[in-house]
Amino acid sequence: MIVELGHFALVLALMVALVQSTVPIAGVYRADGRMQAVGVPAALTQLLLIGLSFAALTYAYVVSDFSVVNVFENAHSDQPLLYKYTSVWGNHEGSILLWVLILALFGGLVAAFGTNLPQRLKALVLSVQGWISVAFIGFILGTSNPFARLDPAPFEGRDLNPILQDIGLAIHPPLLYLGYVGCSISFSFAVAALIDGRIDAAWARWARPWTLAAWVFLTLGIAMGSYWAYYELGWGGFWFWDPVENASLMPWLATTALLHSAVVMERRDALKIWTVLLAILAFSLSLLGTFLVRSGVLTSVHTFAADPTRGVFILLILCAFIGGSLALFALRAGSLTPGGIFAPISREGALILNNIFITAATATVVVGTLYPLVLESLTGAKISVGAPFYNLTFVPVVAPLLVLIPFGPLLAWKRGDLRAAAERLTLAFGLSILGTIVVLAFVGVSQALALLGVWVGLWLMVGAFAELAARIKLAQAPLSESWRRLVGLPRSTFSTALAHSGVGIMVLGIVSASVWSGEDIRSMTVGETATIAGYEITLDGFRSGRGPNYEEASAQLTVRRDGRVIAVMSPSKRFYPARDTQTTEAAIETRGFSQIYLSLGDIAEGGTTVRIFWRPWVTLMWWGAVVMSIGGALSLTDRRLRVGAPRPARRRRLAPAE
Amino acid sequence: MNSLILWVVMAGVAAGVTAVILIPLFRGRTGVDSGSAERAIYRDQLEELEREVERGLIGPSEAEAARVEIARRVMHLETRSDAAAAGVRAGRLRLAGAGILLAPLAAFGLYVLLGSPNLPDNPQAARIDTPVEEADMATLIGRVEQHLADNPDDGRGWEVVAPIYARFGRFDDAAEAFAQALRVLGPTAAREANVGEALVWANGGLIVEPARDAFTRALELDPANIRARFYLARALEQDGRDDEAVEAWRALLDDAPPEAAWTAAARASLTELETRLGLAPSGPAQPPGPTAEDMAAAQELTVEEREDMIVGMVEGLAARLEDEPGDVDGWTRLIRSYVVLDQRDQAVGALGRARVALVDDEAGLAAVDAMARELGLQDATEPAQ
Repeated sequence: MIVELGHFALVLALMVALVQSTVPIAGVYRADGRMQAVGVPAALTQLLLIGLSFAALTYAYVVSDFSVVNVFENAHSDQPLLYKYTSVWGNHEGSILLWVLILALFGGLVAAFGTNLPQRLKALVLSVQGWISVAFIGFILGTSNPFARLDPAPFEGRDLNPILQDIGLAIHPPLLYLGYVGCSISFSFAVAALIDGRIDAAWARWARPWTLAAWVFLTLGIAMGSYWAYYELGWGGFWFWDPVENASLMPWLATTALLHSAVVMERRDALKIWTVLLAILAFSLSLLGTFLVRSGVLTSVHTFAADPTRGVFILLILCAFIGGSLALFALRAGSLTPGGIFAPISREGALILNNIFITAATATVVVGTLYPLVLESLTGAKISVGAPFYNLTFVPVVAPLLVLIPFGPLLAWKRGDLRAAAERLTLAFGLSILGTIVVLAFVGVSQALALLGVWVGLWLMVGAFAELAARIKLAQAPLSESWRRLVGLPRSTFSTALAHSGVGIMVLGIVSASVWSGEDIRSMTVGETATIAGYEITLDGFRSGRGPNYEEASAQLTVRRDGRVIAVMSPSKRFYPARDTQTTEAAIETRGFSQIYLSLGDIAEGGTTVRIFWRPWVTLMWWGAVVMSIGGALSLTDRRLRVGAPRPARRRRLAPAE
Repeated sequence: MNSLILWVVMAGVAAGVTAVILIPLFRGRTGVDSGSAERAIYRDQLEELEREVERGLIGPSEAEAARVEIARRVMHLETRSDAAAAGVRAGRLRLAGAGILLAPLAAFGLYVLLGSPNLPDNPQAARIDTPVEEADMATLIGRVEQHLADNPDDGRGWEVVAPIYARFGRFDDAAEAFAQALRVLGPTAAREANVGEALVWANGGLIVEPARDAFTRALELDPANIRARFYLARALEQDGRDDEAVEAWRALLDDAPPEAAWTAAARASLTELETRLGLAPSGPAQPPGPTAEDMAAAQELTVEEREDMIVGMVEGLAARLEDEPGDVDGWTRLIRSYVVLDQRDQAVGALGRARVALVDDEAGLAAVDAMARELGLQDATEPAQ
């Protein structure tokens, strides 16, 4: 009964979404406040119904109700409880239901907490959210119904894909979906503004927090996915430029640009066209990502099932939303009143430069992701676009942007002073050069480009705090005065510094882990010792055991440094009989920010192949993402209004001649 | 009963949801928004500006410039908001209300199309507790499987579940279960023959290499084992070693009691071989002698049961294919089984039905035709082009 109730709730949610997508917008056109107000209860009941539906499916998983096809195909009664929960979205149908649940959650939040939104805007935003809901609930009920039943019920399920039986599945998809779907809110705001024909600083004030929240979740979700792939797949790599990874990177890049544009709009009433276009682009790229991953165009661990009808359905959704919103943009963009004016050298100008760089970088990823697909469908030729392509396109586009980042926050609004900004960065520049020399002393000059990378990382980390130092008059005023100013600073200033230094930390981690990594693949017999980066790793023996739904064979290896035991590591291989599948469980030992990474090949008589990786400073990459997210979250907690005080014109003579 | 509660709960949810959504339509006429929320934002911005000036974060001249800008935006807002329209006709409102009322009805309609309201929840824990008499076969097998996964050394359990697998057409599982029983309980001629026989079933009647090995091992343990001799004779025939097959059939029939069910199949094979080779037909089997015959009689019961079982299984398979005509493997297995049972007419009939059923499945049709050619069924049934 609970399962069927969940099914009915989902069907009813579709109807409520239909109401939500028509009545409020009709109210806007008829200028009727009562019809506009229908959006709020519709969004809230929709959230309730989809929540009910999701809870019913979760219940079916937890009690192993194999009369539900979806449960039968993706669960096993012997799974630990956590994986029974995560199995709910460890498959196509359930993951789309999670997608819709989060969509309804965001819609519900706008309805419940958007009390200070203008009523017209709120009604339009909720209607646009309703369209997205209708499309995706329709997709679920039409092609991917998780509530299909089996009678008689099989006794045992087919188990979840063993690679997904990991804590990562509990974290990565929900975070990523919060990010993807969060983009739908800024999209709805943008489309609502286009329909309404009005967009101003107040609009940005309401739209910014949603974009920021989506960006924070996307950042964490991608970082988590990267770390998961790193430790689960057993190849010691952290980013493969796989189309599925790109699918999440593209919206992240667009959202990053959107975030910066929205700030300009809120403070300065400028960059309206950019903001609206980027909002549409960010959500379109989220949809494209969903299409690539869910349609079966790409085969990977994310493709739970390849089914052409699903692909066609998502493609239709994609065309309707992207095509529709871009057409609306083309019709209405001209009517958006241009906002504040500014000089080329100014904070606004710097942010436009930022947008151009990021958009170009996004374009390289889009090309690299779609070109192989298009080529294959036209000529049948299979090519793979990987790191070499992106090293030649993405990296050169992003590198100058990274160097320029510290300048941005130091420029004043409306008209800035490049020389003054450069002067304030002298100290940061000196420090970063010093740091690079220290690194040079340790590793030598073997990799000139890598040293450049290290410098960029350090430059970002130090340079990010230059604005802070300038604003509190560090070293120019007495310390007590600086401290007083520091305490008085709005939190959003810290958030900028943190987020930008997070980028630096990440760059440092990526450069170091890619360039100075050690790697050794060898077959070892019991008692044999391998050496990597000064660590001696001895194979002690093997053990076998049983988990709840798998059998496990593990090796035990002792890690020593200068004869002292540092760690005992046991990488293993697991066999899941229900799926007849084997997985590799790597063992990772973290030393500071560096990691020793072991993964097993086949175990034979008294020996095995061991992949040994040394990844120096590798965790910095993920810590960088965490620091970026903390920066974003900090800004989110700062609920105060953002005012961009322009530099008055009379001081223009101080600026360099243009 | 259960499903009645479901309908009541669904109706309650639908009614509640509809009522909540309708509420705004029954409120008094609310004023149409005229930019007050926007003005509030700009007012907040001005206050924020004052605070920043007080804290010395912005100089007075910058603050003044910002103030001018914000004021300009507020003025822009004033010029826009006058456009707000007046009233709405009540008809529109009624239309919206009717649309909302339609939603739960449409939901019920769609649910009836998609849902299975009469199917109760079926959690695994509840099914483990159902008494044996009420449990369905799948549940019982599941229980035994779970028991065997935990106690893989329960040889009796394996021996119990294996024939049940066979009855359900899960021949591969049956072969594995017989092999497990053999591993745990130790080899006997009967157990080796069990494994061999299950492998033969799993391969649609073909005596494959591992099955042949199993029968050979059975004969090493007991040279008189009827089943092993029966299938090895078939194997000789299958290999085209007709002379040796005739020898084997004759020897087998000499040792067999005449009333044994399987002797009919053996005798039919023998007669066919003899006519093909132009040999004089053998006489009816000798009446069985006293001591060796007792052993054969003991064996014979199980062989008879087994023949019945094969016939039953083939009938089950044929019935299932009526429901699932797209199953290529099923068709090939059925046709092979008829050939093995010497029911050539049935085999030809099944081939015809398979061709009709698989008319849209090119690969499946090719597979069935290839097998028919191999079994020599092709000529009789070549469809008219």
